[in-house]
Amino acid sequence: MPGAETLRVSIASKRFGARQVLTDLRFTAAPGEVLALLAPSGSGKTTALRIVLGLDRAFEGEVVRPPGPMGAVFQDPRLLPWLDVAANLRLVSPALGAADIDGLLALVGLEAARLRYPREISLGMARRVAIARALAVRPALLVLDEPFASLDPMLALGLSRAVIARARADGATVLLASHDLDQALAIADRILILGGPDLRTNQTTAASLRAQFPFLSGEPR
Amino acid sequence: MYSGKGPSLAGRTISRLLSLLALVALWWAAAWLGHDPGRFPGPGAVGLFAWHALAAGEMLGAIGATLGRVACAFVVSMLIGTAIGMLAGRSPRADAVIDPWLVIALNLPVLMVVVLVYIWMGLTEAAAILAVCIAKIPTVVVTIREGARALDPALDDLAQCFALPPARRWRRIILPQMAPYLAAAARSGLSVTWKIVLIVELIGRPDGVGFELNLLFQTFDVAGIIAYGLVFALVMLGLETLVLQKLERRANAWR
Repeated sequence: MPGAETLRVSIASKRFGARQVLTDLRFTAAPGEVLALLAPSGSGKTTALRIVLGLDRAFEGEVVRPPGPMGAVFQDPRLLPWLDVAANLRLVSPALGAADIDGLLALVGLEAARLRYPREISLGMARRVAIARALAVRPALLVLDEPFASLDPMLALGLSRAVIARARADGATVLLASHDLDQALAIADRILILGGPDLRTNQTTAASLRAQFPFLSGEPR
Repeated sequence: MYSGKGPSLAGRTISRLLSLLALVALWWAAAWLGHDPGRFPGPGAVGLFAWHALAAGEMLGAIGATLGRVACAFVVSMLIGTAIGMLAGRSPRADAVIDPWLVIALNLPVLMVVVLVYIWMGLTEAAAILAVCIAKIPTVVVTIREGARALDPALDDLAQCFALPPARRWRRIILPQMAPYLAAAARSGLSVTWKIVLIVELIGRPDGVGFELNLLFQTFDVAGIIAYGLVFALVMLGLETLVLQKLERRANAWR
């Protein structure tokens, strides 16, 4: 029986005009749990995340979010270009002290970027700032849309583990959209394949998943 | 020919000064050839008039009265125009209601507005300010509406996700995006406002630069008319460069 803290998503139908984007997407995720939503690009992952975040209310179904702040990492970093990195973190959490900001930036490997403006850092760095910003609110629900795409694979693995560990320590429910099976296997407790089964990652293997869902191997990074 | 980096700042300043001097020289030559200092005085006569009027204090008083009206009408127009412009830019339904009014307001002859407001409200200070605002607000609305339409919806989503309180959302997300449009509205607004204020004063106020111009017109004092016009235009130019351009540069500093 899921508690009040559990994220409960039940999307019966979401369409854009005549185009059916999502049908019967239902899942729950408990605090401290990491659920990966796996699907090829263009299959409605981002739409599903927007619905979970409450940014899109034009759908049939219901979403119950855990009480408390939400953190989101969008596919594009969405930093405010007129604020430096530290001020971008303080935007969502004004109470952050200098030490908090240093800690968050150290977590994503950007201690030196505190006073840089978004135009002065690379896209990959900006994405990491966006991750730090999402963690800055100590979210009860952390929603990540392809957060580690376009990052160096070695860096991505270390970074994703550190981010997940931090979120878990805060008791966050983590919902992650990805098209990258290896990444999902590395950090998620459960993998939900859009239009497919809901799997405990420890009960399955990458090889059998690939055989079952050919799109998972052919996806470009 | 324009090649390489172009002329230096000092070079350009000198060119501007020379160009200005050439204009004064041309004026002086034309006045000298015209042989009619009463109807077409040279720079010397105009400068002398300005000097005496400034020294006597009457010109400063007139400029002060006019500046007061400009400031008042400018602030009211910016506030109301910005509010309406934001509404029209953010809500298509509100825009559908506002747009026809805007088209009509933009095409009203200013002189008609001034005369009608004076007839309906009497020759009062409030009527003068109101007339300027009616003429000015539509242009502010148009500029601000453009800015509000250009607001990035991705940043709206960001604000909503992180549940930013309205004050912080306005200050940190909306205002910085609107700053270039506010600056543009203010800059064009100021130049339009002071020109309309002169008309309002000419028709129905007992003081101000417009009123003085009316008196000078009745005595055909051309040197006085040019002196008042030039000095006041210089004051407004100074205000624009010193205050508004500085604000504009600050608003765009992060770029």
